[in-house]
Amino acid sequence: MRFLFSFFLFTGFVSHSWSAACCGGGGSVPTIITSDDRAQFAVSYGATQVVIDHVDSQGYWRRWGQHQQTQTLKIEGAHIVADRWQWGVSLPVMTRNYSDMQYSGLGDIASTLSYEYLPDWDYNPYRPRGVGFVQLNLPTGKSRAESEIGGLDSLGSGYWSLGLGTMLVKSWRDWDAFTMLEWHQSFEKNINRVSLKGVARPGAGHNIGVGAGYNWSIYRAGINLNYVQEAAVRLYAPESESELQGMERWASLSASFGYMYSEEWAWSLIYTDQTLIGDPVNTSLGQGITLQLQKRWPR
Amino acid sequence: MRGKHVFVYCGLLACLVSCVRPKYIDEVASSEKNVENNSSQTTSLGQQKVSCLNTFSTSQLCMRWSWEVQPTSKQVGSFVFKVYRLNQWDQTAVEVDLSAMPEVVLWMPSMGHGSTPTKIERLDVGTYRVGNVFFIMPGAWEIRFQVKDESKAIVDGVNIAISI
Repeated sequence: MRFLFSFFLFTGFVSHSWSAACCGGGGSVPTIITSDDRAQFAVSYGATQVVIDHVDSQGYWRRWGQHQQTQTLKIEGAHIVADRWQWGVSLPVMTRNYSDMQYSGLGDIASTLSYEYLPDWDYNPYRPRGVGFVQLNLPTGKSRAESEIGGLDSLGSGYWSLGLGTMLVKSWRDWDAFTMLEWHQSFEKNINRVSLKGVARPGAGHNIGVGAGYNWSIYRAGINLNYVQEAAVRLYAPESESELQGMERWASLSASFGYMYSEEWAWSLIYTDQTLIGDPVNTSLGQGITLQLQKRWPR
Repeated sequence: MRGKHVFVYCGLLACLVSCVRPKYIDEVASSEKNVENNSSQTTSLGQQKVSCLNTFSTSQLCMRWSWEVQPTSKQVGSFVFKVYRLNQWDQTAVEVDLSAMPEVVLWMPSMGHGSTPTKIERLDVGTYRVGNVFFIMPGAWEIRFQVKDESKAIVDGVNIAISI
């Protein structure tokens, strides 16, 4: 059971569950091996439908007659580089549709260096396994501030960012649970848009995740909750007043079902809904489904 | 079996303590707010007195606007705006051109993004039509009227807040 849980937990935070439904943004998922494997690899395909087009600063929800849809193909891998060190990378490719418009491209690439600071060699009944990580986000996706068309072609946060976090995992018989805390700081970027030339200064953000699951036979059913907050982005332009893109906040609730059809391969189906939990502001909310295929290489 | 029940109860408890309480505003509700009130008095010569509701920051010229076609979620819209000064004697509108062809930007401040680019054409002295007006999501938007110099720096402008 312990092995089953850890296998499914790899990239267990679903790709799109961390990102705002519209316009890119949000953090990327840390790619971490939480089992005793040497390497793991996952490919996932997710489709999200925006259902609440805008939640304003006062928390009012607005629906529009047409909604954006996004599809994300994500390739992720992690490999042990030393006894307790590992390195992971995730590479998302996104397509965003709205009305008859469609934009595709590479999202933000994220690279994660992790260290298992709390190993679970003796399978202690109480002490969890703890992994700390440093994550670097590469701005390969366009930010909202750079978009000339209202963020429709924004496929990532678009900023360099450096994050620190920890993940604690534990399993008891048929049950498992995990929690994750992550904090990141994004860095300023020059904006050269027709309507705005200046500097965008994003701030800090954080992600808090908790989850639990029940395992039986070769199956696992789980539920995850992710809470995400991104600081306001200030836009400074020499010839005009500075802009303030408001602080963003949203929460994603995911339900997943996993099926391990061999010792090395597993499928997961994940449903994510951003309209059920939390107190969102300055964002769009979506519902989505993701299918993920995972492969492991034992030590 | 007992474990499954605990799992369900935990889920329900989590929902009860943290479920969202959405405050919905639907698409139709705010459209009336965008129509300007142009009620005015008439002068002895039969011309209408007007007020200066929106003022360009540098030239201090006045501006008023009105939808030709109100945009929806599925259809682009257009509006006409007039730039004028107030006649010093009877406060009627005297249309004047801006110093350069203006640009109109649709901007959503809280989300830090705009919308698809608009198209602008001059219809007559101080009279312009803005087409391809499309809002990609509802909410609080600004229509930004901008006059730029040769180096593309904004030298004059006025922002109008609207709710979509």
